[in-house]
Amino acid sequence: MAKLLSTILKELLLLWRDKAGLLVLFLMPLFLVIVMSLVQANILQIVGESNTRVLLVDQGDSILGRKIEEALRSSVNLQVRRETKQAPRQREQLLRAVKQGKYQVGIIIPPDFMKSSREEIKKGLIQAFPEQGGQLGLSSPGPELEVRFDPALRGAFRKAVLNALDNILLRLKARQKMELLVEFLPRKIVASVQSDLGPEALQKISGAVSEIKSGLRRTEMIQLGESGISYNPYKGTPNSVQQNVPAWTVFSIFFIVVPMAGGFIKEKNDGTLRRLLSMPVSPLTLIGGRILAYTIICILQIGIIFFVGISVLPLLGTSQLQLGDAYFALIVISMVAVLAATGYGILLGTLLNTYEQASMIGPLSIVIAAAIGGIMVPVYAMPDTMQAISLLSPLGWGLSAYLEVIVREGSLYSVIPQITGLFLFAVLNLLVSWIFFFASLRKK
Amino acid sequence: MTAGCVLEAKDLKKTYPGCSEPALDQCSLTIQEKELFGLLGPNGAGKTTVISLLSTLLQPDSGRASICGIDAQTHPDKVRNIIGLVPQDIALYANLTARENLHYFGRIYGLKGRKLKLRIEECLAWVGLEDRADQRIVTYSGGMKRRINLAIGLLHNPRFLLLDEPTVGIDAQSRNLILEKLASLPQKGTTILYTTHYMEEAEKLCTRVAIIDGGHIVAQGIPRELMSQAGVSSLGELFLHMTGKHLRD
Repeated sequence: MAKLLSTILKELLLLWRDKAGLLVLFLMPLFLVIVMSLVQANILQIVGESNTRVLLVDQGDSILGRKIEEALRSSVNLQVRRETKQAPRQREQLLRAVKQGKYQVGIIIPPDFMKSSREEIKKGLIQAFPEQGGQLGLSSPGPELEVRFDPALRGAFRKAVLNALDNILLRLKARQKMELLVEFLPRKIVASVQSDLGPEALQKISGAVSEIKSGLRRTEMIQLGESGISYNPYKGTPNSVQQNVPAWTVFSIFFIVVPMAGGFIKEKNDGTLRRLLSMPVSPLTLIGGRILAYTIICILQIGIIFFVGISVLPLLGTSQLQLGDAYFALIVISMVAVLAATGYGILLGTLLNTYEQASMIGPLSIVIAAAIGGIMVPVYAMPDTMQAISLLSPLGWGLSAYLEVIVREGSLYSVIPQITGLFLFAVLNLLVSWIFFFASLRKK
Repeated sequence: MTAGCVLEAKDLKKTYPGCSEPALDQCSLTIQEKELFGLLGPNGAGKTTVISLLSTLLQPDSGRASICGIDAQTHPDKVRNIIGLVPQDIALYANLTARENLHYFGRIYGLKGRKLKLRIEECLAWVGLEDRADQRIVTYSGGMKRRINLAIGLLHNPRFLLLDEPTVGIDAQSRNLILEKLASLPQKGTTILYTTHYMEEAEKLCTRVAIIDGGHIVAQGIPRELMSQAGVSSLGELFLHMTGKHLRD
């Protein structure tokens, strides 16, 4: 135990003295997680996959305005600001705000929108029932609900917003038409019966007319389906913080292979390992000490990056990282990911011969595995072929496990495949390292 | 095992994987207690292979070696407790200080507490590095590195010290200090096996020598007797007489 502890302390001391290594292990992931979270949050906002701000200027403070606000708010990630006639914003001001990107969508409901709409429908009905004093002819276009979009907003998202508004307007029109029909239709029936069949017949059908009236009042013609305005096809898609914090955590965990393998190669090349192996200490203690030292480093990395996600990123304007309740699952995922990374570090240290090789092959392999595994671009945004390839990346397994718990409220049980994959990856690496390590000892 | 015999190696043979010729063949050596034994040979003669076998880093294909009566093949762990290896390389952590290096290797040897502290101070004083003990190795000169490299091999007071060319590439003062210190060790109970290219060093220091070439021991005995038998006046001449003058690159 004393030898193991001494080896751990020696490794930590060596790493503490390696300022470049510390930068790579701590500063780089912090920089990446902050920058990528902010950049991706902005990109997602622009394309409509993050909190999109809607400015709704309701000049008449109408029911319609409240209905629109309610419908848009209930869709994913829409922030609606409704301004009423108490503090009206001029049309030009709204246009400027949308143009400047302060709001991605601007909607103006004119003060007399509801009244005008009802008038237009009434006109249409009068035209349909000439006996009521109207004449058949073309109806006028009706009042306009003005909608303006940020030019950078993704097309599909615009369509989703327009569909939502269409649904609301359709419902409104249907309701108004129904109300007017309830008023007009019985009158039309009464007038027709009286003129064609006489007052006796009118008496006979008066009960039926009342039933028609109340039946029509009860009829809800069109229901607005909230799903109609949902634009996100991926269930449980992470936001930029939920994607980037675990992603760069996994990346930084695996990046320890560079100093880890480098240190091992140095020991091999400068004869220190040879000296150690001539001493009364097991190779398991030496390797175990190194693994445990880097496990401590990884725990620090995980703690710092998650702290940034929870406490620092929200200060910079992103959403806060919510870890959920499955803390034990998160701990297990982290530990298995660390084991996989340290196993890979030992493997590289065993197989490679020079520090230069380790500093080239280590980062390169990690960056490739990160790109494939969805660290840089989320897997759900990849084409199908790349999504299939992403299953090969141990970094992808780690990220997928974190996302399962953080985004989809998964449990330890639901991440068993990823955990098993990472564990087997670690075992395989250590096994191959062990074989090559002892094979190398037989050489000169 | 013969009484007073620290090393008894018999017919050691070692062929490295992928090599057709053995690096060491039928190598037999006997070193008595408190001897300072020189193993001399040209490049590639098999000196480092002997050191590796005796320090349990390698297993021989055949033959046996026992150190202080302990079989090195069957009980390598016990052997490692009583030997000290000073490799040809500067086998130190360059970013640790001399004291930190001594502390770490001392813990690996199983030393701790006051005993470890005391041994660290003694070793530092022994190689004349007390004042520079808290500087990182990377700042040391070649001679200082060689001295601390030697000190680590002596931390646990080994009974048998294996030195693989400990004076390569250092200044005259450091070499003189190392040789003086080495010469004093047998009196304190440490037996030394010492490989070197410097014949004058071996002639001055070693009580007995063996000359190895092509994996075979070609001569073994007291330097003066070996020189007399070969009719030469120095160990350098004896060496060339036994191994030839052709280049060994």
